[in-house]
Amino acid sequence: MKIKRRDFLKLSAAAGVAAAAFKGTALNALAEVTRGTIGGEKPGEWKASTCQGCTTWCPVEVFVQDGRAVKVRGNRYSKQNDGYVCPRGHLQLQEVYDPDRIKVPMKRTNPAKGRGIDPKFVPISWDEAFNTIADKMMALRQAGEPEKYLLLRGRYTYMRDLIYDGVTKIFGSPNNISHSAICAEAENFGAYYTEGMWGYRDYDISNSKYVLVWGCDPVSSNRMIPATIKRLGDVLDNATVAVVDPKMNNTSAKAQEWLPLLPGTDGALALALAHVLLSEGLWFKEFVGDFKGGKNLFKAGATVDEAAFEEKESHGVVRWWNLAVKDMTPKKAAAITKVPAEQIIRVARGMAKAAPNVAVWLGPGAAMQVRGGYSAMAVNALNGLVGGIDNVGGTLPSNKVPTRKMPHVDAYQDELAKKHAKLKKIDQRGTRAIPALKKGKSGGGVVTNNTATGILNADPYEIKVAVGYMNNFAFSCSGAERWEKAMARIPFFTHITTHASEMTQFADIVLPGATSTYEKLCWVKQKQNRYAQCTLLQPVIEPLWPVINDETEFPWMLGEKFAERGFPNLIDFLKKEFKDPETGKEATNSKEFTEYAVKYYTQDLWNGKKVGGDKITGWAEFRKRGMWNSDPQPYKTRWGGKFGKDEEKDGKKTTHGTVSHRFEFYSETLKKALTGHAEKHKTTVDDILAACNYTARGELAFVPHYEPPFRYGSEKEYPFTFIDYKSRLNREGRSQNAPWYYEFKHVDPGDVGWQDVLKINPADARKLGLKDGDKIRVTSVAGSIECTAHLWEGVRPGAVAKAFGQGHWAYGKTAAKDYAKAVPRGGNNNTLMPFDIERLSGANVRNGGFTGVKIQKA
Amino acid sequence: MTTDPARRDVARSDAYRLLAACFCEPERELFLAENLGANLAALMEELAVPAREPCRRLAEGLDANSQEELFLEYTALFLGPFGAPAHPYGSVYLDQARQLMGDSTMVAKKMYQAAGITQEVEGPPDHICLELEFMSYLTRRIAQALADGDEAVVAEFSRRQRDFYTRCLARWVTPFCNAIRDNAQLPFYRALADCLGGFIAAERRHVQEMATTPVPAA
Repeated sequence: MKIKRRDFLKLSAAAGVAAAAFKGTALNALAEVTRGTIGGEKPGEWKASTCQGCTTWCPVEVFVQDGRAVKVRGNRYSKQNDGYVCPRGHLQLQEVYDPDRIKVPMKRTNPAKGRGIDPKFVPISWDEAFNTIADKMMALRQAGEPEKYLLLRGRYTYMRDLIYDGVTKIFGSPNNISHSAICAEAENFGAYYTEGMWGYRDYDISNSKYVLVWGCDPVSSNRMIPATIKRLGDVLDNATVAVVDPKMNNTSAKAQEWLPLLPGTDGALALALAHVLLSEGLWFKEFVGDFKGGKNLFKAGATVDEAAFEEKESHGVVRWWNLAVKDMTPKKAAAITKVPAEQIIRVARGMAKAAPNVAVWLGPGAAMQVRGGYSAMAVNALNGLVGGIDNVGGTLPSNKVPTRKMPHVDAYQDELAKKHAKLKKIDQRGTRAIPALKKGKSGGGVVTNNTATGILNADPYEIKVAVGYMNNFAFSCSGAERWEKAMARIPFFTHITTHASEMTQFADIVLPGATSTYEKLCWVKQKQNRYAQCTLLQPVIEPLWPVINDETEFPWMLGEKFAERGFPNLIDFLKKEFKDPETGKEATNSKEFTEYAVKYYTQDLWNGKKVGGDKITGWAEFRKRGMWNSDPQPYKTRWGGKFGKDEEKDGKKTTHGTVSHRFEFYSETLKKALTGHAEKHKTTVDDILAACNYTARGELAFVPHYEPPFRYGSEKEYPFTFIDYKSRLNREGRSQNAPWYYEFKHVDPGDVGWQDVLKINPADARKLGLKDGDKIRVTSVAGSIECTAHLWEGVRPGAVAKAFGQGHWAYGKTAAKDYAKAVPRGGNNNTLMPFDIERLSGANVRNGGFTGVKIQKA
Repeated sequence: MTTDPARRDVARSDAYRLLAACFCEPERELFLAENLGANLAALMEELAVPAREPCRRLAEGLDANSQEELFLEYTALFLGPFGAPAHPYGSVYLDQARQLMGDSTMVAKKMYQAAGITQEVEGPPDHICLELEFMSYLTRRIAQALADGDEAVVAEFSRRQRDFYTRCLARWVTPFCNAIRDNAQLPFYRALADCLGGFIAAERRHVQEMATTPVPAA
């Protein structure tokens, strides 16, 4: 609040009592209006927007009354969530109205950076903020080193291209770094190197007869939450639900089968299920094919002649059997996984009986492991064996959402930008020990957590200016403390965020970002229940403070400042390429630009073009509805050799999807990718696998197989295996300052309201002399935290489990216990979990029992 | 102490207004040029509010600390960004779970609207500056009506003032002032908390009496 007029500070001329002495008012922030023009309580209105509490990205409606958002529900038109939201949708009310939000641009006045060091932020004007940022960035261009600018992208919408590609490439840096690899890239790796799809699958559970959930909890995570909450009861009635998870979760608490395997042994369990399906002749023959003679030759331990089998939609099933499956009997797997052999056999037979209406729901728990690439492949391979791929009641790809692509930036890049935007990236992707083989390409994917390595070692070069938005890598990446050191190394960092966090602690400029559901205008796409969607995030309320849309307004305001400094390329790109599709007008300010850009991307959904799905007659209707639904996803779209296709352009052949064009049990696609990466580094695939901490050598590298879990800390010194999981109240990382988060924490099985508990089996607790509620110190090779012991049978002896989310030392008053002293509330799992990556995909590691811990009374 | 009701209400209105100014972003040179500390002390004396000591400390604090120091303290107390210890919004103290835009915020907003007042700046309506400024406005209207002999307006605005004081401002000023006292490092803001707390406490009698006492003839 500023003093706008000096006479606000003056005393009234009240020496006398003449009426004239009191004439006029000295108001500052208030003004008189004619009474009668202001109504009382206005009727409320449901306004369409989108929840970004997780990646389900639910179309929602917000009830707004007298300018205040008071309720949230699913969008009435949604064929994905049927008009419902999960708890996360409601929690965001405490995010938008959190008093601890960033309210004004701020700058650091204390140059020292580190944990526990007060940055001494003070408010500044938007003009000063952007002048400072533009000066710092332009200095890089003037020095001929624009590559030393880094964008760190967190949760995005599909307006991301503008800040991620537009700003970065036109400026001249290769360093647009996404958060994606701390999400679930290893899960995508499993799908890509079997079925040729780098993306998350849809699950047709309404028509399933068997659902095998693996390494996730679909009523609380993994992209179709409200739909699953609504359907799970019916699914349990009509189908069998089995859950593979080392600790009990919401779904396993209700499921018919719970398979609490030892963390990191997913590959062995998946192979054993495959062993039963193959050795008992139970695979789905319409998809996989059969032995030419009709007799099943898959016998435990016996090699089979590949020529004896004729495959249909798949490739390499016999070679897979010979290389990885034949010896993994249920008995052997039981010894490795601690899941009883009879349960393995029962589940496999149940799946076979339900085939092909089987969905094997691959979650990050099976994939985000040090050696998780192959276990993700093994789990997804089961979808092929039972024929559930692209099938009724199985797993599905997504219908296309016909939105436009960002226009090319080439014409707006000067020579400096063109040259430097092609330099090596700071995350070291594609180097010998970090193949990051997204979509078959060496260095094709981001390696988010390794960016800290690049910054710390100035390898391939120093980073001097960085911008981050909607992220907090100094908390949310395993080995989080490395990020603190890395952020302290960056001389100038701007954080666009709704809340100050650990990453903001290292910021030189802080800009208040708009909250996703309530204040932004942008769009996202997602799919559930066979329907793809495009859904708008809209400013359903007037923001309380002048916040900006990070992905559109930041580029625009920066572009204006660049132009003032003789570099108009960015603002020219934004103005000329994103004209209003209806009027052809160029935007004149950041708000207009945001709207024109959203219209540009989504225009084919509402401009009368025949794209299928919902018929929407114009932009106004699209904004009112807030969303578009596709037609239902057809089944078997990729059957008939369409799991991959070759394209030839300019004499160069490229393959999209699998190399064999079939579902691959023997991954020709991975073979090509790994061989290409090895050739690039003039070495062998075996050498690459060794560098990537995998044990497989030879042909085993190309099939789903079992890799023994890698563990930090000896079992002698660190006897417990740590399990990290996500709370159903985690809005990714954005709900820990909401009091409801703590009040309702008990909705996570085994958790306790208002506490941050480590769940330990009562038998283990007895041995340690621990009682329920004891304060404990948990220590790994990476770090140590304090939290509360909770005795719980839902975690097996030898393992302990704790929800990710608490442990902030720099956040709002609710999330951080004492910011000034850097005392966290609870403990951050990423302090315990050491930095590591699943190197084939570039994914951050957080699962698979890779962290050994010891527990002491605090 | 003045006994003239209209003059007293002008002084009260000024006191509310100067206190509102104190909670804006500090502008040391302006505060000094306008004798903020001395004027506030004079008003408190005129109104017989026992705030001589905090007003003296407030003035001394303005002298002793630089603009930069005051600005840092203002930011640390009221803005954060890592969770300000003394958020200047009523609902943080009045509604469940320390949220903005709570039901109590909407009460304040409706009272502004009913009195013919609109908010000209961003942010929730129950910011301490806005609530103090609103009380200043209501009190000034009463003073003017008293001088004009307009009994109906005096009665109406006295009622509005009592309602706003009891339903909004006075309900959260005490914990707000305590939060400032617990966290302020500089004498200016500690003294300001004492001034505000003392003044608002002393106001209780005035606003109750005014809303119930028949309006004297002009």
